[in-house]
Amino acid sequence: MGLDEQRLIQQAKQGQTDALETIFRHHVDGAVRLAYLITRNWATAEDAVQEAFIQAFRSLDSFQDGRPFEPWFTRIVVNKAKRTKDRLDRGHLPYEQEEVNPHGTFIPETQVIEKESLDTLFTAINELDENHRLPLILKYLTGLSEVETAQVLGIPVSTVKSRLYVARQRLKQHIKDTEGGEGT
Amino acid sequence: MTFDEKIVQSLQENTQWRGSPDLLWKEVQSQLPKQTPWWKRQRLWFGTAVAATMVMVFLIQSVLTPPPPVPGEPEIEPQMRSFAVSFIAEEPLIVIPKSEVSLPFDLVVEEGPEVFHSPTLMIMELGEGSGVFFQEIALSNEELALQSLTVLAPDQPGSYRVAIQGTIVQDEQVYTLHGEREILVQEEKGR
Repeated sequence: MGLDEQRLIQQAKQGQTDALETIFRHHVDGAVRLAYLITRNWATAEDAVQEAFIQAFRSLDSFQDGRPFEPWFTRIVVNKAKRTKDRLDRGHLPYEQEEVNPHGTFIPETQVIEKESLDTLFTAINELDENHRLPLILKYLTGLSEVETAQVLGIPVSTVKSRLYVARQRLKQHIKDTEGGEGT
Repeated sequence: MTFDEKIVQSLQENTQWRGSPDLLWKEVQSQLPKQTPWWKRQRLWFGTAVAATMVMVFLIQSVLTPPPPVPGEPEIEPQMRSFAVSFIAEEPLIVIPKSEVSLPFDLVVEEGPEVFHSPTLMIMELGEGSGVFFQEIALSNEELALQSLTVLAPDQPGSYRVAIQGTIVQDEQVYTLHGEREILVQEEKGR
């Protein structure tokens, strides 16, 4: 949102509903995806994101002007998702399965192979422990920098870098074991 | 496709949210505080600053103004009427330093007690290190008729709140004025 983001936040601080809704619609999709990767359940993810938006909007007055909204809000989403997951005590559940090709349309073989490759990678990401999975998700899905990721997770930047390195190495090894080294 | 791009695509394709943003927004919106009207949105410091300034202006006027002559015959008490001045636009007005700023306003009848003091223009710098500057102004009949007040913008760039408050007597009627507007003073482009 860039410069407009700051303007929107100012308007939102004054209680303008239109500005709040614009901020919501800009961030909701990414927030639910992130929460889903933490909670492993869409309904729980939506609950967590709902709580995150309510908390963020209610505490907008404490949000420092001029700072980017995304890292601040992402921290709230991560905390809410973790707490919601713990509260429901779902543990390490498998991700909800999405229906593949629900309309039964023809998919070329190359696309099927590519899809399988991406699914294998996703399984490998899912199998990472949380310390290595979260920095990876924040970098590659949310698009945060390493500095912002460190702020969100409350850990040093050097730790983020090393965890990202280890996570990537484990993913490559997983793919190598599964597909004979195609992922490297 | 690089390995990094594969990670991005894998995460995106396996997290396709099929839910409804509209429904989620309704849930969020229903739990947010209701939007407050603009005249109730002022922060505590703003209200305190306005009140303190008005008291100061009133006291100064009481000291400097000579006591009115004893009337030969009882005067008819002027009928008190009160109007609120509200500037039309909500968006901050962007102006260049020291330029003349025309602020349109509406007149709306309202109830309320009146305190006599000359119309005062207050310009408050917003943000940290903000200061409060005020000056007495004379509103011309033309400005009242045109429902537009012309003021001089501050010479320093920044965000300011302009407020007007006071009373005027016209045709034996007393009018109370108050209103406010945010202006953004910016250097002229190319300078």
